[in-house]
Amino acid sequence: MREAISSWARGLFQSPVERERKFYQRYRALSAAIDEVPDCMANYVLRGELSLEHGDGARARADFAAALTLAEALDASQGWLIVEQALRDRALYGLERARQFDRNVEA
Amino acid sequence: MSDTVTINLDGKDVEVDAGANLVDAVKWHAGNDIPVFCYHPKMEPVGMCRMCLVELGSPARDRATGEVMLNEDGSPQIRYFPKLQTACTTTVSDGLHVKTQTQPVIDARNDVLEFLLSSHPLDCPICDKGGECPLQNLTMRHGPQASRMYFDDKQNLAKHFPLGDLIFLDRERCIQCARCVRFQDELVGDDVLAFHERGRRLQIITNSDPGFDTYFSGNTTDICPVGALTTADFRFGARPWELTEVPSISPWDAAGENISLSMRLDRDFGGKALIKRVMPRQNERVNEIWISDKTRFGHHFTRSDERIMTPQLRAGAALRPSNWEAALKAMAAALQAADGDVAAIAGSGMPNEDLWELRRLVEAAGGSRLGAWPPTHGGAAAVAQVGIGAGSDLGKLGRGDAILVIACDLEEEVPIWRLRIKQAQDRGAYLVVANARRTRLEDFALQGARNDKIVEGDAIRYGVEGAVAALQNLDEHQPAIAQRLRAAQNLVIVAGAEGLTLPGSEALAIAASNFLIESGHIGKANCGLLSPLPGPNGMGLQYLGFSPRAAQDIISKPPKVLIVAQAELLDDDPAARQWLSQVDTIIAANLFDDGIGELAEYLLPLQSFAERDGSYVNGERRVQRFYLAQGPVGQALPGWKLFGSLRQALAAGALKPSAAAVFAELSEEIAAFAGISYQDLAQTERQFPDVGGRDLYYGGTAYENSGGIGVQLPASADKRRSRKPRQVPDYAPPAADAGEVLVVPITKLYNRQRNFRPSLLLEPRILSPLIVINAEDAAVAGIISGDMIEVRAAGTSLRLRAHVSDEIARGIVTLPRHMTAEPVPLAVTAGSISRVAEALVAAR
Repeated sequence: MREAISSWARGLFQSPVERERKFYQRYRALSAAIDEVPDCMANYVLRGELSLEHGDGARARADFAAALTLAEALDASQGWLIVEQALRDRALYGLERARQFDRNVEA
Repeated sequence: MSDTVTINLDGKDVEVDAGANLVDAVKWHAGNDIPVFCYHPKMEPVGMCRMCLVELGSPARDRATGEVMLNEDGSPQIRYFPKLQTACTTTVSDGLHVKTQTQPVIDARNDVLEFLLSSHPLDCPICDKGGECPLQNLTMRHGPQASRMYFDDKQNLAKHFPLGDLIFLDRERCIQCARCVRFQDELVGDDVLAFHERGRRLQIITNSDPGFDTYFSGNTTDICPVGALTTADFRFGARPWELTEVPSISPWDAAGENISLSMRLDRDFGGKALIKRVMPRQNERVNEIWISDKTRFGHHFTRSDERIMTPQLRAGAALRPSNWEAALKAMAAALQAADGDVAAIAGSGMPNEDLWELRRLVEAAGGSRLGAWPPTHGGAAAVAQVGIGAGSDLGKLGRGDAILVIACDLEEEVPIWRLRIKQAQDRGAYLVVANARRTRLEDFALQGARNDKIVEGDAIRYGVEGAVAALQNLDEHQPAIAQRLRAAQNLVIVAGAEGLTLPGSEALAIAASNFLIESGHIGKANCGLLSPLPGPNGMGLQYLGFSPRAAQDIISKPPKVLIVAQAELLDDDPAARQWLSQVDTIIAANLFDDGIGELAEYLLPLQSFAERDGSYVNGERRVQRFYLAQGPVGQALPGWKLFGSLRQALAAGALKPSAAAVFAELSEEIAAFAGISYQDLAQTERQFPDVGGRDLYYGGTAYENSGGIGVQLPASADKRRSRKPRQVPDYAPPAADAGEVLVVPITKLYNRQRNFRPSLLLEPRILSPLIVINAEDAAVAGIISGDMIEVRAAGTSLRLRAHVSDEIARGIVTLPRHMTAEPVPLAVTAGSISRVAEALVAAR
């Protein structure tokens, strides 16, 4: 419990440099995962969400679009594909948020 | 003699490379960072700053017998120097004792820093170097807490002194380490910086006009250990800790310089990630830690307002902005209606992934002709066969080796190769430069001695007969040179296309290949052929099936539908408008509109290298990755996505989700790429010297290679194939009738290409276009320097001022590419010249 609180507190007072470093650690890890399995939707969705969180709408849009490209290729005959459908919904939602984000920035 | 020696470092024995510099050796083998300011691992040590003082001792020897004297316990007696010694000027030797942490050493470092700071301004909060400054870092680690100097005695000097258009000097911050002066003198050979005055008045000056006149000036800001040298491009632009480094590859030439794009989410770019500066990324086999100024300062095109922003469709006489959905639908219909008469021309700036998708699209539409643009250099096929061997490194060429550079001007075409070849000559390699005119590299070849060292080289000046004849007749006309090249331990030939047609450059490449094969210089490291192909991916075009021959075939037999991808046909070829008018439908995808929008049915925006992931194959056949860095511009798409979507619209397979997925597919299909993945391209290794980490004091701000050092594709000769000489095709230069001359287009590094013009900082460095004429020819024609000349060749007519020179062969004139409003001929051709106006200042 004490450790959890201390970790939460550390996150609260994280310096911008530390936040940036952690973002790129996560970004690189997801990019490496995409390099390894380019046809896996989940990594694109996760990387898109990460980019959006970081304020980079353009990168986020590219990743959500890639995830949706994969979603289009899904074959209905493979069954319900619950996880893929959930990911597609996340990608669609992310794409809308990214567009909204870009509109706000331009405004 | 052993390759290693054992030294004692702070009481511990360490095995290090014999003959190594002490600073390098203890850093590499023991992780001991001896602080330095003036020392740089790429340059000769000078021992000027005294920051690297250490205690040094060596085993005492009996003067009579020469035997090592022993203590009572049998250990060798160590005799220390009475005073501290500079580590940077010390070469390691067996038994050397080094103390780096004793009180005298600590005091010395403290004193040196106190002295350096005696007149250093305390403007770190606004200094560009703040946050990545060796002086700052070493002061924190080794410096005094307080100064005994009087603040009022600090010197006040110029803080914004322009050394040239690109580099500013802050004279207060300079600590006179001379790294910049030595870099220009020792490494580059452009001796344009110097020390002026003495003692406390000592300052850096430039002695060239224009100031700091070199293609490598930006590197001095990287190795400057303080914030004295800053670039006009980046100064006061951002703080280093706000920047994120994204690995990338230079988009300019065949060297494939590894770069690091310093990115920041920026207000000036609508909150999107923006390139704030371009820095070198260490890759010892490609560019070491150096980049050219074009690479460093030429990135502004990536976010130019002049870029194509939206897909445009023809509606009557004009193109109208549209959207991707409508454009894809219409283009798919046009491709289907072409009945297979579809072809593509791709520029050498297209990444591999885009080329692969473009090829699949053309094939899906029933076409097969894949042209490489510009169709001027025919050396790619020969490089794929007998290119420099696996594991080659121009940085390893030296004594006993030889380099022949023929029919090219590397200073202007691939500046990093010119830098590395000049350094190879410094290390003892024999350099031969063959051309019809003087080039910068020829100056080096003929120097004889540089920086107190003998250098060896020769120059061959051929005439209108051209490079192919010169190389084929080398044994007959220049037997001594030919013999020396054949006898070299390693031989690299750099064969270009200057003064040659496409068949001529192919013939030269074959002749060079034969020379290498016959002399046994293929299939091994540091031997083989290089060609300065234009653009960053000339070899990628070759491997993915795009050829200049096919481009010429397309020119002579235009298809119904032509896809033009990142190729500036109208800027390069004066005849392009004529032959493009025979194409029914042109689909043009590019960053800029070179005027093809007037002819095309579809004009589509492509993303630049900075906006997407991808890979290039450099001239040494190294596949290298670049990563998404900058936010997108307009509605531009990466090429692979555009062509993949179009293929999907033709119902010929699904679009791939990412560049990684496209590369995975092409590596399965293209034999040369077999077994290579994006992960392989991202592999890194520890490189010597160990620069580019957080310890900026040592090598400067060359960023560590976190993006991968790439994978070199094997040449056919590496696999023991293509080892037989081939018949060199008969080639004769274009015949010039009486009163005509050979018009030779030449490349200039700084020019008026559409992707270079937006970098306004370099605008003043673009020279006026001049036609260079042989002095005797000029005398016959009554031409003097400055006269306005009209050149008529290849169906075009140009007017330029004349420059009369005795450093060009008779019967030849040169015209610079991409410097005039009208394009110059694509390749060498016969033409006529006439004076249309006299020089403003008459010299008659």
